Amino acid sequence: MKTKWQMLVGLALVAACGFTQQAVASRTEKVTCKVELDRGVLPAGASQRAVVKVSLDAPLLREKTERPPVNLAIVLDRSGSMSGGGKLEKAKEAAIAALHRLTERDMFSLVMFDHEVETLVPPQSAGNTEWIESRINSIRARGNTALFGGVSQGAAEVRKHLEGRYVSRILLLSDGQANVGPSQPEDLGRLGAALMKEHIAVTTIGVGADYNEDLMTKLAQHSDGNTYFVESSRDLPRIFAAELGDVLSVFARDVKLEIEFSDGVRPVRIIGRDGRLDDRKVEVRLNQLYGGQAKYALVEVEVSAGSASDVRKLANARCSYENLVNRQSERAEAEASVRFSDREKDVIKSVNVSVQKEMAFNVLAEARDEAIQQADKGDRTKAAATLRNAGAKVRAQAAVYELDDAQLNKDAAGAAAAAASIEAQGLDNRSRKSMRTDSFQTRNQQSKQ
Amino acid sequence: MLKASSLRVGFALLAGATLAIGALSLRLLRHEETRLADETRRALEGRAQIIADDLQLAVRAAQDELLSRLAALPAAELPRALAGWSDANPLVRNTFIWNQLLRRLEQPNPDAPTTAEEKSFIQRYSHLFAARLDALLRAGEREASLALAHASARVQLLNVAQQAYEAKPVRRGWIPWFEGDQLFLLGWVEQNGRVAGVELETAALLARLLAVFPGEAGADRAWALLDGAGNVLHQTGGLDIGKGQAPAVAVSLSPSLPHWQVAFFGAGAPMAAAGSYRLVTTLLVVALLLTILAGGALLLLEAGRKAREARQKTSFVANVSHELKTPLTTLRMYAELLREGRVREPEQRQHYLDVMVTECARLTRLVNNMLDFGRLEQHRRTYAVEPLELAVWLPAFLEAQRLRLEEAGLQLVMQLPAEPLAVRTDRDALEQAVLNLLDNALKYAADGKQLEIALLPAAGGGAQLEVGDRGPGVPEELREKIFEKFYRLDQSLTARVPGSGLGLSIARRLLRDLGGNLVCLPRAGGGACFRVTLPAFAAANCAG
Repeated sequence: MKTKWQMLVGLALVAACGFTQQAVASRTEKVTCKVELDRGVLPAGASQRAVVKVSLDAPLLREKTERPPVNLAIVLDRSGSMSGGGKLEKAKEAAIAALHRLTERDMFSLVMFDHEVETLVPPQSAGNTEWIESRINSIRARGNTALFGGVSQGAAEVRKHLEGRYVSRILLLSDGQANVGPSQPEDLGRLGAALMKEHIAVTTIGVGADYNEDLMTKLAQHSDGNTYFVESSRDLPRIFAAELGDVLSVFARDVKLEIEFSDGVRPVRIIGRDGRLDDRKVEVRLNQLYGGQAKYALVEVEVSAGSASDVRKLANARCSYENLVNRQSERAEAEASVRFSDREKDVIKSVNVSVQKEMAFNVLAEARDEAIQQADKGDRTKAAATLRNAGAKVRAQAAVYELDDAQLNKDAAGAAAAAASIEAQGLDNRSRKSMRTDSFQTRNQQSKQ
Repeated sequence: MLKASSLRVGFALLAGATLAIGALSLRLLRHEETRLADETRRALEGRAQIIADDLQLAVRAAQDELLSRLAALPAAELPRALAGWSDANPLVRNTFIWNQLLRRLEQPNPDAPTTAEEKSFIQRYSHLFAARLDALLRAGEREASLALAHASARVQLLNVAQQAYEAKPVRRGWIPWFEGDQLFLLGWVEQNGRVAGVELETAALLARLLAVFPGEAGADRAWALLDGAGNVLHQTGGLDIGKGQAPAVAVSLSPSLPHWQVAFFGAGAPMAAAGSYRLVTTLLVVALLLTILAGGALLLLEAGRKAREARQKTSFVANVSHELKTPLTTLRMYAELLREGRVREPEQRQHYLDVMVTECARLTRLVNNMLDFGRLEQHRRTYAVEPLELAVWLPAFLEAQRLRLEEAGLQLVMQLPAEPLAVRTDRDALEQAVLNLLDNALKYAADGKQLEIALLPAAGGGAQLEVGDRGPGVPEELREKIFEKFYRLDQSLTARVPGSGLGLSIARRLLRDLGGNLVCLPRAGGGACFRVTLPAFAAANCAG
């Protein structure tokens, strides 16, 4: 009698569980994938350069309980220079504010470094606010900058809870040049690339005028984190809040985007991002997708000549990712076709304004990075010309396709102004930092702060 | 003379022995110091070796895992499998496939790299793939075993265990490659005519190695991981390592990470301990040496003093015997002459009797002096202090002595004050002191023909009595020494003038007991002047 009763209860429980799971699954949405061309209609009769935009749109997380837990490691530079201008104090405040936005389901750890590296707060539930706060408040500035070691240690702390469905994130805050351990941007980039394979993203926050922006952006870029340039430490709490907003809204991770092109369509280059590119295929990897935010890849392609009113299949995009809300591996797919026409009017009418705009922004971003490189080599005129050309190109594009966007106009004008300034007095430290950071944010579709 | 030189010899021996002990202990100290430093260094080296082994084992573990995975990839779909693996494994930076038959790279395609990373990979290893890979693959295993022979016991043990574990040995190995001063590691596995390879992600490996590194090292020292160019890759410990600073201890990380080193920095650490050790022990040695020297010197001085006193006493006894014998001989001779009745003339007999009385008086003085000396030595002399009118007493006293002095050929000249000069003092003691001064002049200054005695009031009350002769005088350096007991200017037994060496000593002690003093001064025109000072009132009882 008793066993029967138990079995009944058991059955009921299993049924209930199955039901709730189903309910959650049905409620959660998926990432949508979309393939667009900068023009829906291409001129017939000659091979054409076109830009394909593949965007991934993650749905907004609707309920608070849905949010995947976060495994956050803050890596704090406490070298001697951080004591200046109240930077360290602000950073501590910001770290504590970030801690309060986490819940006890989240993991929190804090590593600090000077020429040594020390784990101040070992990974633990973010609910232990009192103890963690007292630890953070005890930080004092001293010594040199072992940035590589700091990030490595932060990664080691995050790695302790890599299993499970945590959104892993390292928040690096530094104001100086790395001067202990590997300190080339390339070295930190490699570290970032390795961390991305473990689904750990590193967000870098550079404070003041002395940090190495190349190193910070490389680290963020290769691990697919964000990067920020903070001139005044007063902005730190705001930046931390914004970053945490991103971290708390992560919807998917381990995102792999494959774009396969049809015959007669050859990918030429990926605009703004790093990725794998061969004759038929382009592969782009993203670490994390934030809910309610679109990320995209722009690929310039060469389309062989088509005859008028021909419709050709252009590309097939497949996206695989891990849905962190329901812990499922999911896929999304999309296709795009192109039509050829003799009439120029058709072509202009078919212009996709959003793709054109994204492309224009990316052209400017790429020009900024190139100009930095040229200015670093001491070639001011070339750097100025690069920026000017890009600005002119964007303006011409805007004129042809009637893109009237305030931000775009501003950016194009900004490029011209920067060109003039570089020609007159070279590239100053502050402009270099903001140019590098802006460019990164555009190319990685980081929400601007 | 003999005494001083033996003292010097004694001192020299003592100093020599002390110096020898000092030198010996300093040598021992230095030896101990180097031993201590060696021991510290050995301990540090041992620690460094353990850290190095830990790092090597960690590297080996990562490398072995990579190669096992690589060997387990399906041969049929190798390119795809490699790409997937490379995308997922943080320790994999790049993968490649080398066709051994065609001797060319199959993947990545050297002519059409698909990513920026592939492009840099091809550039980085262009030289390797163009010429050296085959030779390295052939040499790979031999070199590995050679390198292993130099590895530490722990690493060798791991290798033995691994070989035992592997059922079917596969040809595999690692190639260290340097490009632009940076170390890259290429792993390879042979798979029927093809070599599948993996480039280790050095940054990720390094990030993992940092966890193996020891923790706190202390504020003034540091453990560091150094790359081939001597750059600090990681450090623990508070020491700020300067550019180009040489490590105190360094252990190589070959063969896993060629040219990398585990190093210990911090001149402060073992050397500071040795420094304080040196200071303390040197102080101890110095203290010991000083004690030996001081103790030895005291003993030597004491021995010297005892020897001198013994010599003085011997010479005193001889002197005194001589002094006693002379009057006794005279007495006996004259007494015998008188007994035998051979002296007829009354003047002659009277003269003999006078001489006998004089000699008796001399004997009495001598014995009195010796008795006084004994009393003074034992502080048993007592004084009867009473008023004394010096201007009256002195002429009377000297008159009694005049005959004796004149017989010795000394003419007495006296200077007395016009006013009466009264003091309170012990008359007998004063008489004895002045008598001793007169005897002294008789003995040593009789050739001077003249003895001048002056009495005058002293400045602050009391009186001053000066006895001046025209004898040979007293050398300046001996003017205090003559007041020491038993001391005589000419100390040999065969001295022309007999004497006990007590007269002046007793005189000074008597006068000092009475509150006065006796000093010897040079005299203008040659000779010596003894000045007696007397207070107006002697202390009531100056005994002791």
